[in-house]
Amino acid sequence: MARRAHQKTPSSLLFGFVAVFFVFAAVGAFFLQKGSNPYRTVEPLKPNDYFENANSLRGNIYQVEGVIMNALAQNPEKGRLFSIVLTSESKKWPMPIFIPSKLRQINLQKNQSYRAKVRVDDSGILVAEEIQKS
Amino acid sequence: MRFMPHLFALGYAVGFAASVLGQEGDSKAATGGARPAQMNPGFLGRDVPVMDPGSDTSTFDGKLWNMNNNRLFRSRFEKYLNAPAETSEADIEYEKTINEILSLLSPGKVTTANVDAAWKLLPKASEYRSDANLCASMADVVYSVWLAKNEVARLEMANRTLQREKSALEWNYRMNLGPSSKNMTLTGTNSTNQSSILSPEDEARVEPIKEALSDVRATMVNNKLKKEASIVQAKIDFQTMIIQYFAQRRFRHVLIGTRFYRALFGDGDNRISALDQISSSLPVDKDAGQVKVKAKLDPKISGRGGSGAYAGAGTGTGSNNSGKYTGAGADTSASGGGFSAEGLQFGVENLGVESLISAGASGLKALGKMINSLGQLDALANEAIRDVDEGIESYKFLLEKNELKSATERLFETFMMGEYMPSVRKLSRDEKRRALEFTQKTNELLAALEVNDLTRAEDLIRELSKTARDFDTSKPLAVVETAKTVSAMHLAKAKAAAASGDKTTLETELRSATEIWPRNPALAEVSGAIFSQTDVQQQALNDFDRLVAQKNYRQIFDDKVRYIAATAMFPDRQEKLKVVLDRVQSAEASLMRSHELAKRGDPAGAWESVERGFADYPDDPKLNQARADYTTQAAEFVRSLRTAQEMERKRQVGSSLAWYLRALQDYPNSEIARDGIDRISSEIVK
Repeated sequence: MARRAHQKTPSSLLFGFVAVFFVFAAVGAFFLQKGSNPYRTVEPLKPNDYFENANSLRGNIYQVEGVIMNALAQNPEKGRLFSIVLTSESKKWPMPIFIPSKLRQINLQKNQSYRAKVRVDDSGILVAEEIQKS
Repeated sequence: MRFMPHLFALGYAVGFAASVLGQEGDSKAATGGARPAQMNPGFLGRDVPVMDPGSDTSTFDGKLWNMNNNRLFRSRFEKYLNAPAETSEADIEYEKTINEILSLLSPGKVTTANVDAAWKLLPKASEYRSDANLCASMADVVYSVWLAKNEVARLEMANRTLQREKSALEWNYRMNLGPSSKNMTLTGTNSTNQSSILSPEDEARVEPIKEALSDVRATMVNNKLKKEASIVQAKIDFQTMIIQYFAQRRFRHVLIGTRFYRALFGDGDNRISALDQISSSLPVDKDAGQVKVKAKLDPKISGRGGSGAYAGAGTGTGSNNSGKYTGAGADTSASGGGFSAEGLQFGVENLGVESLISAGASGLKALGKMINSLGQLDALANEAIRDVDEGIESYKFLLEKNELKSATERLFETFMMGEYMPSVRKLSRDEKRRALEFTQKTNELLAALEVNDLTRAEDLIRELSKTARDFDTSKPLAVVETAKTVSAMHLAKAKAAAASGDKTTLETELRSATEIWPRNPALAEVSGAIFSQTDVQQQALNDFDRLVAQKNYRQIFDDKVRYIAATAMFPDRQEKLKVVLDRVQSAEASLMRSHELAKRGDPAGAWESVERGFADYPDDPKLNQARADYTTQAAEFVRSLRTAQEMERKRQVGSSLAWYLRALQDYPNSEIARDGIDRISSEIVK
């Protein structure tokens, strides 16, 4: 029999497999990313702007992510006020965040990181509309 | 002017007569009872004159007056005390002449020759200065009596001649009557009855005789009246002169006069009719009425339990048609004893010139009844001479015993009684000088007590007690000590009033202290201290007000002792001072705390401490300096905090809270940040 000459794996196929692999990897990474930050479409708050003039941000909605530090005040009917420390540009920015009573089911623990979708209310306070652990 | 002392002397002599008749008691202390009038208003107040016979003083309208110490008596007495003794040859010669006159006129020796001799000596006696020409006056009066007597003799001689002429005329009258009328001739020498049935021839014949007879009879009656009037007038003139000499205390002249009188008027009629004559010659208006002294007592006495005292007196004057009326009301109350009494009124009614003349006439009549014979005057003069001599002896003895007070009193009394007596005039100047010095000092003491010069009074009392063994220092010293104590009490009250800012009481008490003891050395000292204290206090108050206006609390704090003292009596300023001191003390505490924190390396804490003090007292330079220093040391924290506060002020709640949180992050112990966070958080969740 004629020896049949060894039939070599075509290199194009190999490149194809690698390419498919990367495509799958990219798609998976995309979907995975999409599941960890539900507010990725919401613009992050720039702490510097908030410190400069919170009133100018009234009505806007932002996403913030930071560590809960202290409970500042609470009203069972209205909600709770916490201080949250955001990290931006390697600086820590403590800011107040109000958790309305409709979000009372969430247990906010000190020194734990949370991501929240917030709205700047009329008094310039960040009012959480959604919040979850990050 | 010379007569005025004699009027007083007359009173004194009358008083002496009364003392001889009634043995008046001797007076005692002279100045012991003296006391400042304002210290003791007395039961009747100060408007009613009060005489203290025990001390020979009288009080009126707050003035103290020693009855022996007046211009007339004092000048006369001091003139006497300074006069040399009358022991010259002329004085001795005068004395001898007077004694010779008295001897010539003494009872038992009275003859016409002796009377003439005595009369001849009168002009000689009057040549001496001591006599003051009184003997010459007496010689004149005696001569007048002789003239009066000559006139009487002449009148008697004339009457005898007239009697003879009258008898002749009566004979002629009877002889010229016709036969039918002879049976109806005059039945008596004095009868004027005559026949109413005369023939026309008889009528024509006897008519000239009748007229001549009537003239003779009238002349005789006139001469008789003239004779009696002449004698009576001579007697009255003589008596007046004797009384005048008695009033002048020329007792030896009184004796000479009475003896001459007895010799000249040998009719045994020694009655003194001169006083009655004088009183009857006064123009008494019976319609004027009498002076009346009225007193009305309507006591209102009440008890009281509390303390305090009031004494006062009121006077009122009024007039009505009949005269004047003065009334005084007194109200006194005593402290401590709970007793008060009021309601005494008295006054003088119908006081006028006419009523006073009437009173004087009545007095002279009464005196005339009391001394109604020359024998009484003679006895009184003799008694006065004896009393004067005894007084001088007594003075000399008391002087030897160094009892100047009694000696001076005796000499004064003796002088007042017998100023012109030889025993008084012969006292040596040295013997009189001691009394003079004592008199001057006692008068000075009275003056010092009257003007409340207590220091001078005290010195005089001590001097007098050394020079006069019998001078009783207890009363004047008690007065002085009491006045000093009362003055010191008023000064103490004034000090207390000054300390409490009670100006009214201060003035009242200072015035009272000044009135009681005007030259009190402590008065000037205390007044000066009070007023300088007032000045210092006022200056401090002015400074305080200025510093408060400038908000320079630190200056007030640094000098707080001065301002605490100055504002002690001013509640409004005191409250301001309290606020100021609290503020500065708070700032000081902040500064101290900040220094401690800075030492421990906590500039943010130090700044915050200063900042807290600064809020209370933003104008304190020390706080400002410390604040600036620590601001640079804790710049980030300070910036966060100030930004937070600024944002909060601008109602940027979110940003403000964020900055507070950041400040707390920078300095976790910051109370300001925590307060800000709490404040804003509470507002948010409200």
